[in-house]
Amino acid sequence: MISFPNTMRSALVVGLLSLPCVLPSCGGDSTTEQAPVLRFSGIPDRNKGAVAKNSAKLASWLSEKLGVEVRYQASNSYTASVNALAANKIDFAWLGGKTTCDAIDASAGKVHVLATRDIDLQFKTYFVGNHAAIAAGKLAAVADLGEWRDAASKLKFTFGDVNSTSGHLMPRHFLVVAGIDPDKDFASVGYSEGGHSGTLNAVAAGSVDCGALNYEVYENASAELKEKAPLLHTTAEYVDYSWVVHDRVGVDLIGRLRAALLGLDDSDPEESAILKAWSAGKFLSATDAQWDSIREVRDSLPKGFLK
Amino acid sequence: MLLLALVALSIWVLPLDLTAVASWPDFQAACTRLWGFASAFAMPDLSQPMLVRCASLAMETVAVALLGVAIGLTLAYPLAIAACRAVVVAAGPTPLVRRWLARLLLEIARIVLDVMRGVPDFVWAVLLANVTGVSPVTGLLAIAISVAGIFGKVLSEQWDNVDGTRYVALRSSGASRLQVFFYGLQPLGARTTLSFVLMRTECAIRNASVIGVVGGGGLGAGLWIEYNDLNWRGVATILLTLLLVTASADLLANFVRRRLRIDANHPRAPIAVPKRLASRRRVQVLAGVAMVLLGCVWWLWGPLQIARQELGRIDWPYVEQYTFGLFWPSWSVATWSAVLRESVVPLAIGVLATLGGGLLAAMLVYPASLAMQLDSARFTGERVTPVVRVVRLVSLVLARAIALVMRGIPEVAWLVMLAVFFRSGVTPCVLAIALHTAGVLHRVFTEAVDDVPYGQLERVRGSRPVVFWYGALPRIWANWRTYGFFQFEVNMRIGIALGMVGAGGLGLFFKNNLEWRQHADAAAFLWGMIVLTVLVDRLSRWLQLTRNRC
Repeated sequence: MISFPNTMRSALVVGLLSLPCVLPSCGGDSTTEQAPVLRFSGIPDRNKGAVAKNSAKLASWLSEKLGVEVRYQASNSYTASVNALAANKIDFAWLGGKTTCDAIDASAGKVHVLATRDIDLQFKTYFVGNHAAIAAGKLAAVADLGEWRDAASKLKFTFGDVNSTSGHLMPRHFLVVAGIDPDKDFASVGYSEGGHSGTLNAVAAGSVDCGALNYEVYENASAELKEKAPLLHTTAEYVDYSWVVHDRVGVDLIGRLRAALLGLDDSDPEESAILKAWSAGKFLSATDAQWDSIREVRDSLPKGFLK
Repeated sequence: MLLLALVALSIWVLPLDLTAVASWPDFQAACTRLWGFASAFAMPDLSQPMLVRCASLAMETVAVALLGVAIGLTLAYPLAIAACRAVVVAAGPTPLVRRWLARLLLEIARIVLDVMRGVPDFVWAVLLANVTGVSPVTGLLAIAISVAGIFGKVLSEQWDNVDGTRYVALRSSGASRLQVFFYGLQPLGARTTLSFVLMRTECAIRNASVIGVVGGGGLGAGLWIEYNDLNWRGVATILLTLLLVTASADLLANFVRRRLRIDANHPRAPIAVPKRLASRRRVQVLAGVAMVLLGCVWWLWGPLQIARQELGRIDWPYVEQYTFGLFWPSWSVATWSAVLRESVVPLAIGVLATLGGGLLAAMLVYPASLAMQLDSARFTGERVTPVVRVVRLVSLVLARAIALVMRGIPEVAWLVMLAVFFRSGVTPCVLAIALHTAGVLHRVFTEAVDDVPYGQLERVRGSRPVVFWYGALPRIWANWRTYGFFQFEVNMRIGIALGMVGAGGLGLFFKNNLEWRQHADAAAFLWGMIVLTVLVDRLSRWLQLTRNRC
């Protein structure tokens, strides 16, 4: 019998043992039947637990309505949702304004807007401040953001996720229009983790002095949080979130999916719960062109945070 | 002197925000914030669903780490052999062409290892998430790749460090290069290899919890979710679970490593075990390892199956184009000057955190040293009363427990706590890394002191502090420096990682460009990270060279 040195033997055995662990994960089975499953995801724009719970609710309702298995897959970042759509890891998605444009671009036009909420056509951003900072006279409510220019150098500011339309793209745009360069003028600029709820928490807790977030998240927050982080400024309106779908789903199923979403009815308790989870009165039909204005802002914005 | 200059430079470069301790009202406000958090710690969420969730997350973390290390080791082995000078570049006369080919193979293997190691594990996780999605499989593969990079480098170095005269007999009897490796180098280096593998396994358990933050699942993901919701009681429960997992891995690995590490001549060396018993034990250990790994596969079976199904449907051209795009950098001057500018941040964080942590660790060594506290009678000749002995035992246990907690809590978790007090920014990041570093360095620092043979300490003829200062410290100083430098390399990478969640610098800019789909610019920042890692690595090799010569 060949006598291997002991440690070599151990290494070999450990190596061999770990092989079966690798095997199931690589070498995709090309013969796998394309299971008739519709997979969807959404940007993690707030409390991930809540997003998962709401999405599970929608998944089970849609499965029943369409007669096709609909499965929710969590996403860890905005870009990951866009990539998943383009890479055939998901079929449709709940995206923000900027990511809607990103997804259309990344898929070379194979992704289209499916529906949007009534509130998304007149969406807005709230600028909020920490109550203690306000009491100390560091900042106050303003009608024009430009009035913050002088105080800015003493303020710690936070946006939401860097890919958020209402938490970063549009507030940055409005700040720039008002003559404030966030990267240079504020004492510090951050991008809060945990989406808009993260921004609100950070401002309320005083980790930062002020921040910008999705107005709908703020409206639905607890009275205690709102008290600790009062509203200081409301921006002009713009277009935001949408449901998008990839062409590979097929015209027929896309049509049924759209009809299901548009048909969500406030008078039915189950459907009303879904609408409520999305803060929507109703889902409306929409076209890609309605998001062109967001694409313009995305491409024309001065981008000090990239270089 | 140089160090002081470095520290001054780092402090000057980083936008450190110390307002939390700058004035009394600010300090009070900071304490109030901390109090809300600390009081939650007094009553963690111990409801049954939370406990069940924590237990399952903990299992997931451990399974991901262990399988990741197993796969990483398998990947690393051939690469390490190819990167080992003693194997690839043979001694004696060889044709010029063959010699060049060997050299080429060596360099290619080393570059592959550099890239695997230079791309931080969380970036691997972000890249892999495009293929495997938010799943423990992502964490598993990310850990496997980065661990393979580290194993490949360290194993090849360990084999290269084996004294050539110890296997010269093999060479002269005509053994091929691979035979020399299998019968010479690898058994001779086995002790250090195994010790290192154990240490990395334990590190991987900690890393697995950090990778969770960017999509790898496990305790890290849970912690991050609870933190973002400001659910402090939940954070407390998960942190305690995390501490439990890391501390038990720590103690277990330590126990085994002690047996591997100790010199047979050291008074605390275990008594030699008869050969038959030793081989039986080996078989038992191997069977145990196999069982544990199979258990891990079983635990992750669901996610592995889903990953397998998804792989069949994925649009590979898109994923390939995306992934390769992230390695194809832009050459614009503006981008590269930004890369240079932002590289300073992780470097400065690395310097400050390593020195701060090292200092803290060094201060805790004396009370924690086995030799100084419990065995001192063997080399100082003093008489120790039972009461004094108990006091010293308490000091030892206390110092070690503090260090255990410091390293048991990952940097991200320290950050979560410190950000409450200092508010977000660079300051809590530096402190978080420093605290964790102190715990990590404390262990190796103390081990180094306890490994000094007592005979050498006896020659100093003095009280305990005198023996420590004049006997132990000079002997282990170089050792401490090496560990410190190695930790600096690690800390710089963590600095990049924490950059994405508040510290700024390379990590943040990479993330922003990645998220804004500026792939060429993101690639430039990614190469910045790789080059930085390689430079620090070469610097450490070069420093060690000079140290050996002196």
